[in-house]
Amino acid sequence: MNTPDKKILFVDDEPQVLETISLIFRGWHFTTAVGAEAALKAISDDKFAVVISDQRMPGMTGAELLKKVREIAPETIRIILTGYSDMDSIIEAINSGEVWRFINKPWDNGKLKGTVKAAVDLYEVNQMLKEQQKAGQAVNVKQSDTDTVLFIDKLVEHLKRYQALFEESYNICTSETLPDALKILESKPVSVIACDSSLASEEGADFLAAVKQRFPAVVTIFMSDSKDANEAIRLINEGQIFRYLVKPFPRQALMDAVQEAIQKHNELKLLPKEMINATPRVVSFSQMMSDIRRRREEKKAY
Amino acid sequence: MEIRYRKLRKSLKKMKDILEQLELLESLMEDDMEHNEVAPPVERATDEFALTLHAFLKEVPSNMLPKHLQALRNNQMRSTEQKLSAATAVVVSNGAEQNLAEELRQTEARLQNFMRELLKKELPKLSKLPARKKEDEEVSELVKQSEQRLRTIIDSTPLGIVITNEDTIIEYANQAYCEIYGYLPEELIGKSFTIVVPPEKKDFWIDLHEKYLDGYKEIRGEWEVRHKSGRPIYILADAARITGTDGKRKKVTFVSDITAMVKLKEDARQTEIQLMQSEKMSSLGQMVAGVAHEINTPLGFVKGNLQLLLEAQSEVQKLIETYTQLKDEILYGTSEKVAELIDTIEEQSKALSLHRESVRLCKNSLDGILRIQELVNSLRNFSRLDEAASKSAKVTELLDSSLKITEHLFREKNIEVVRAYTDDPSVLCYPAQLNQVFLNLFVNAVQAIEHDKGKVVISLTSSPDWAEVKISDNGMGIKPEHLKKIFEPFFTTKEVGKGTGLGLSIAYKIVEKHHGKIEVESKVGQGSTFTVKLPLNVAPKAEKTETAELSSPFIDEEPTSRKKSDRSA
Repeated sequence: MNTPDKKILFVDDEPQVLETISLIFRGWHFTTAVGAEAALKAISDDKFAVVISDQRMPGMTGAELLKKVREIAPETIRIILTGYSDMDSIIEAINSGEVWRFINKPWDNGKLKGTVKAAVDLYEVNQMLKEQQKAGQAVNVKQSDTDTVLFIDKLVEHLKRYQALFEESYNICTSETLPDALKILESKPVSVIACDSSLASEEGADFLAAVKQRFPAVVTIFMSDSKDANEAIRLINEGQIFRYLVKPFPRQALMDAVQEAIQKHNELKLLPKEMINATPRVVSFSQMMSDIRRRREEKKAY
Repeated sequence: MEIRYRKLRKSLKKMKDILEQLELLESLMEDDMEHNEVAPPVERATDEFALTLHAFLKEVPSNMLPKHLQALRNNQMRSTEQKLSAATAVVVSNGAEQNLAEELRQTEARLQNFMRELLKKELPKLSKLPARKKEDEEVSELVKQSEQRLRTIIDSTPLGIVITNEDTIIEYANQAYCEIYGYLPEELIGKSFTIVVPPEKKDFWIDLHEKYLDGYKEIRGEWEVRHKSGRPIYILADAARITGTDGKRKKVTFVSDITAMVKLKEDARQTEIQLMQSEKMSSLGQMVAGVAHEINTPLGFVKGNLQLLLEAQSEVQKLIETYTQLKDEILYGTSEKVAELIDTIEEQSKALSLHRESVRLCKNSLDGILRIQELVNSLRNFSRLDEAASKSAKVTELLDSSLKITEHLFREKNIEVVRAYTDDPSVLCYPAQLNQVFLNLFVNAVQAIEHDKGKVVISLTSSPDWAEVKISDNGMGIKPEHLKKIFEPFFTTKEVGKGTGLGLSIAYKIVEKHHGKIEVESKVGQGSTFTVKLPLNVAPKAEKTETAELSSPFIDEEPTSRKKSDRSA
């Protein structure tokens, strides 16, 4: 593996964890910070491609730290490396820290290195893109089109409410089943998917993961009435969900989430084609389901 | 005179009641009482009557009293010291040489007469009968009425009454008794009472019935019996031994149906267990999150270190292999090959990046494993599931094991913990339960602190009789209006989902069970101090499961010899 030359910051309140990490990443360009305060100082002094932080630390949680990192250096990719997270901090990490990955302790050295490398790559692509934009090389997306938001929910009643809330601002599609949702995705460009967990949460998570693979620019919002930590971690790691909303939520929360998701979608659309789309767009539902089954079998350690 | 009259009326009514009791017993047995053997209820009735009469005699004007009773009253007035029993003897008998049964029979007859006299005089005033009938008619009518009334009462009372004979056969059962068990009277009368007991306990009940009649077993208590439909019902029973007109012993049993009550009690018990459990789970849930993180952190670096050591090992292994090759080349090979290998060794040695770190990696790993070991130990100490019974435990150990598993909570909020133990007392206790008390108090202390200069002082002192633990925080404190409610179940100021409001009420219950005291002092903005006092030499109240003594060491004991467990509460 080529060692990336972009700087990485590891944050933990346990010096022994940092010692081990220092040896795992020997030869890489990185620095370590014991605790959140030291990390914030490092962030304001230096530029980092990736920040990997512990969740439970004295004084400030990892999610809080990453939220501040996002404010100070939004381009930095944020990862949580944690021994245990309760649901509230996972949701906080997703929604306000916009973390890219959750990694559990104990970790696997090889996979940890792989994930950090992928994060650095993502950072580099984003930076490249920014420069291209500055140089006027990237073509701006046509803003004239109204963005399409796809709502997926088992309950027709709920779908009607979503429709009523958003139909003035966006082009709204609704679907009661996953196959129908897929047909819509295939037939027209969708910016944002808001998916309800009622569509069998396991399948729902896999569906979102598969969608993300096929349509990387689509931004997903997950609406759940349960707080399942494992589901949430899987959704962020595999489905790259953008927001996790716990029902019932205020209308404003959904309106904000959709608006921010569309912004995010417009950023993602600018990514070079080869970054976004490696596989052909035309997929059938059965193909997707077999993908889901395969993924489930190959389920990663984290 | 007015007061006297009212008292007299009351007395009269009382006597009428007694008379009715006598009549009732007679009519119940549907036969005349044998007078040579006086049944205990009659004895009781006459005793009671004697007392009433005694009180009454004082009030009645002399001219109203029959002559033989006047003597008694005069006698009574002369000697107030005279014992009541003596007075009774005079009342019941004019001839001391006669036996008691005869006396009673005569007394009864006299009383009836006396009653008739009184009734005749007093009844117009009492019941304001419009027309006066002939004396005898009137009295027999009254007796009939009263008998009728008694029948109505007996049949409308919710108390089930049953009379069984020596052969366990039901001779009489009232309406309520039949209703409790769901039978018609004719389905019960003439049958053995075992029709209403659980079939598997038939022998036990027959045995109990026999022993009760013999006078060395009691019936009083709660029992599980069977409704006609076969469903179990619960009754509260008491019984009396009487002798029937046939001279044989009989048992009168009074039962009330308490099935609904038992069910309610059981439901309440279940609910309480569930609540206790949910509180335990809720505080446990918080603990698990913390402890999982505490364990996974050292586990993380230990696993990382081991993977690194494996890498280091393979580097060293490669080097050793090159050295072996070198040895072979020196012995049998060419000098060019030797030179080549020496270059390789140089390269490989330079590349040994991890080898130099392996000692530190090992030391760190051992350190991490020790941390995990300590945590697992403290978890075990904390739960102490292997110690269900009460035992003597050091308070310092209880405090420390609770402290260990809450350590991360204190650390996350940068709270300073001061352990001020001045003594090392031991208490008789259920260690796991006291741990739960301390855990709750520690978690509350942490939650009360919302600033970054938190400090919690845990002090332990002891006197000859008491151990005293004080847990003081410098947190937000408790409002005075909340202070008196904090030990009440479901009282919480935390937001929904953050607390069950049971933590302190359970702590209170547990401390109470240990015959201890739990108190709180608090000042808003300054902090709270919880004091737990535990007696040093008093065993806690026994757990329910422990009191049930085994009547047999065998799990498959014959049902007839399983007396103790048969008594179902």
